Amino acid sequence: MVSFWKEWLSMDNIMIEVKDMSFGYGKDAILSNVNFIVKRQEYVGIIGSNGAGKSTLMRLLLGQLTPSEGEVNVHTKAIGYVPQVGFREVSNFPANVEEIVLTGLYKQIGMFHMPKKEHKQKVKQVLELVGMQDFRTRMLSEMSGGQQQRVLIARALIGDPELLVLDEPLTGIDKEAGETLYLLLDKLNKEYGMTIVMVTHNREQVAKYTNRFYHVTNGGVHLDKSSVLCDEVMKDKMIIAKPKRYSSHGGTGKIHSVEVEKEAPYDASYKGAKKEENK
Amino acid sequence: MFDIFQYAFMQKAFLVGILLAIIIPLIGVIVVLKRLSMIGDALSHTSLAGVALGLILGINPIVGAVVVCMIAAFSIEAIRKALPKYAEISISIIMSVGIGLASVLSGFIDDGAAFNSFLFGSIVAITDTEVVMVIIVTIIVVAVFLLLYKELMFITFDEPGAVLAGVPVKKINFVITLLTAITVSVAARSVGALMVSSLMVIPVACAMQLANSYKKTVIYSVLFALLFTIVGLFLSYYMNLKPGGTIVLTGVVVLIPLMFVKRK
Repeated sequence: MVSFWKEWLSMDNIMIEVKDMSFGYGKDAILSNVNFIVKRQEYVGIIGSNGAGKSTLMRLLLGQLTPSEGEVNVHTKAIGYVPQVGFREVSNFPANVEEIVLTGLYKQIGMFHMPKKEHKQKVKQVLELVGMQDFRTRMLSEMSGGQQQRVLIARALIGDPELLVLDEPLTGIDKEAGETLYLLLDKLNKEYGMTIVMVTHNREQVAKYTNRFYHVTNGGVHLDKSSVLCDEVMKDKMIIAKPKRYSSHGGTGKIHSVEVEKEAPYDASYKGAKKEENK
Repeated sequence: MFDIFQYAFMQKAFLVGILLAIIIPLIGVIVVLKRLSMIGDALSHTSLAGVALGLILGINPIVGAVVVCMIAAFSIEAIRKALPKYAEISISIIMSVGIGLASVLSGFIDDGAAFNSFLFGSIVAITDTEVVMVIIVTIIVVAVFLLLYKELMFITFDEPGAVLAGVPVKKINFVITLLTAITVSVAARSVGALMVSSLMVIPVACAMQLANSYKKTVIYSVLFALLFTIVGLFLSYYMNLKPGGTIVLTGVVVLIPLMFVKRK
């Protein structure tokens, strides 16, 4: 049992580590003394009401802000970021899907260079993954909120991220499209072993799909009770590489047993999947 | 019909007009998509203060406009950063300062006609030095736009995402602010300070009604600006109208039906 916890908490298994972190000073502190970890291949939610500091926390994780005290360590540079589509800037931008998704390959294409055939081929592959292959030449502004969100997820995925960070993915999306989106994220986490951190205010959906979720309130970040349940499940099942999820389908609170795949699942070109394969 | 080209001043007008019709919409695409359409207005009005300063000090008014415009452009950026939730305020503040300064300084200019020519432009009275300046600015703007095409699209679409992906956003924004100020200043002389921003926005607005990609939005914007400039210059020559205003009004006449077509 000791070796199980040792391995589960080993540094190799940790994707995000926040230690005694504060942002802002004194009375103006937005976040104070925050401590939490996100393990590799976990699907974690960050919830909280407007102005609670969850967007600040997300920006700290992305490296857009520097903590005033403590540390934020993200153990990967392969981060895929999915912004909100609710903003006019994103949803009304006059570009087609291929052009938008190609921006996700910026690092690979490089400054001053134009995309090549292989990059466009990759766009097709990633659009297929998110079920948007028929929309490649369509304008982003002509699509529904749910479709736009899937395009932005495709843009984040094309750079082969190990960590996917989503900012309020349900904003401006109807319930049905939201459900489809969650199923897609669930697939990316389970089948491709991608670590997902999702900032949202939708507690119901987060509880249904994520491994654990944190509440951001009054400058603090608190683990939700359900995470304890999650840990208990893990202890019972002795799952090391991937924490067991509960209530992953149907939302009834029923605990599902999902064994960790040792074989590379699906397209092994994804780094998360590669990691799984190497173990 | 083409007796218009017999005159050297009209040849120059067409050359300068065509070059400006290429670079103004390129800058326009960036400012429109960054939701900063009014920046062209603020800078062009501020450029008048530079023109007045140039005329008072006895230096080339365009050089004066470029210097004052650059200061104004960076002041807008600085105020935007200080008040991030009210980006538009920065433009209004600088525009007010620019107009106020231009108004006060214009009282000290002896040659009032020279100053007035910058208000509505004088594309038919452009000097050789000004032609050379426009050619140089065109080469720089087109080169920067082509080299940074991908980066500029990324920044205008999703600036935080571009920072995260490693795009040198601050440096590129600096270069674009500089080029916007220079383009507005050189264009103020020919198109008119009061009309530069129209030429920055109207072709882009027309292109956005028809284009089905970012690339086509850029190409169509330039094509529309070329169309307005050429048609506007012909009309102004044969109907004895002011060229700057005719070019802008040609654009508006094309934009209105396009907006209805798009709505259908």
